[in-house]
Amino acid sequence: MMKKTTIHDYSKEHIAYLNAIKRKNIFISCMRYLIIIVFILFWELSAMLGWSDPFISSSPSRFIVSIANLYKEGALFKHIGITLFETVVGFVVGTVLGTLIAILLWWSNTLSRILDPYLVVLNALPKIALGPILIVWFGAGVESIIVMGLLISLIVTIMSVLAGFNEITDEKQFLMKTLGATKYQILTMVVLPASVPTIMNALKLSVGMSWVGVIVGEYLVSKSGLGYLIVYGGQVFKLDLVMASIVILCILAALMYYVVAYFEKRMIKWRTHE
Amino acid sequence: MADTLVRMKDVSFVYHDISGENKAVADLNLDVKSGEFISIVGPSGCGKTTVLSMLSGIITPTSGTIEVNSKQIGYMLQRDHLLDWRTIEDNVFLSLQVKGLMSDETKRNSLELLRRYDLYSFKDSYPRQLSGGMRQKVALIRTLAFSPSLLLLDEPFSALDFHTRLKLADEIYDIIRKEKKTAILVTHDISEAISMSERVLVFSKRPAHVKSEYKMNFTKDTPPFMRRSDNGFKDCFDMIWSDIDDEENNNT
Repeated sequence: MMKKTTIHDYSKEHIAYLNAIKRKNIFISCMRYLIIIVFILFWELSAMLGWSDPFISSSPSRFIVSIANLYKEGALFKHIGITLFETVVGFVVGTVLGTLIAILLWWSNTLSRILDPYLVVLNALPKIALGPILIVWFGAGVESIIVMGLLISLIVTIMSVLAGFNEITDEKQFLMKTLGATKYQILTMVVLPASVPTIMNALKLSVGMSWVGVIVGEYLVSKSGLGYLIVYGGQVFKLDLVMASIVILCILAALMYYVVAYFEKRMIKWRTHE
Repeated sequence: MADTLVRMKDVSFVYHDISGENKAVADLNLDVKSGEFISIVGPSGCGKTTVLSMLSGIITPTSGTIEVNSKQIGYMLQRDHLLDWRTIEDNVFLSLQVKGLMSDETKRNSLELLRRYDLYSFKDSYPRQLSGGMRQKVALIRTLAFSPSLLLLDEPFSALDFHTRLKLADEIYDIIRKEKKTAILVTHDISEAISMSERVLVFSKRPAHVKSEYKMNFTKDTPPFMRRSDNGFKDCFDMIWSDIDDEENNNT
């Protein structure tokens, strides 16, 4: 029905219009790179020219050396690995558990109403306050950190996924009822697939949350991981180490976000389908 | 009930909510013959949809009896509610899947329906790519896929623009006639009711019962659009209009 028109069929005005859009997009990408390049250059230069004290504010060349040293000691991937492991486990368990609990609450309106105030309070509670309890219960190790990452993302996941479920119109469910659908069929054929976009959005949120949980957890207890490096670097005044860890953290967090975004794109193809 | 497909006898329905009870339907009597196309019109909020819900078995009447002599009942809503993530073909199969009727034969029949009504080339498209009228036609085929003999149409045209509405009314009338279905159409559009059906029932306001009944004298082959220019159309419209108007203004 819809024929693909080639560029030759367009009028001059339309081609000019398309070119203007293209130019704008190129400009935006250039500016993005420019900002980071100028920032790094300025940082480096200010350290070289003595405008700032690299002992306090570090500098790109110094934190790169710091990363290289970590690599030589063989510690770089150990720290990255541990933090990444904790985050992924916390994130995946939080997502699966959160979605399961949301399904349960969707299934039973009564249960949902009974538990509503508890969810509200748990959501408002700063989960970090539970840190000391977690250490006592799970020990000063990886377990506590994972639970912290899990806790921080869990409640948000439950609430946003449930909100997604409840967004599905009653009329769509009514249609299913006219076909004689069971509640389980309504769940698997309509509610879950319709909520994929909401769930993916919730995941993008909770990826960030998991990182917060894990880094805070590492501040509190750990002997390794990027959070540990940051705290340790701060305590011994090795700002190069702190900056190096933060840069690595930035890259990892961005990568993980893009992994989720990639899955999102693949799972809701029908949305972008022309 | 030889060729009576639907019989409602002294049917009442009461809704409960916190503010009290609400009698939606009272002492409703209604017969529909096999192969008939009837319309129900009435003042807004008069319980027309409640009647369809009872016929489909989603809710049970508070009192009275309903006999429906049809194994499968198809229900068509105001919106098509096609599932965005399913292709047209899979949307049509939805009803079969829910009812556990998926088989090579039912699948073939459904695809044949798509072919017969010019939607086959879109079977791998997504709902997003279709116009409102086409989507509603797909919704009808999803309803026809499990071969119901009774169709309940709950304002199936009211979400469409005027032009599409008139065109689709013709098409859907044609499909229903060719597939030899019995249909009950609920609508607030008097012209639509007159142009599509053999009988028009005017409902009273709440609690709903049949206030008056009009028989149409069109031949079955006249498409709804042509009926609108029939001589008797205007008179019929006026009579039904004044019936409904009476009900709206009657406060006792």
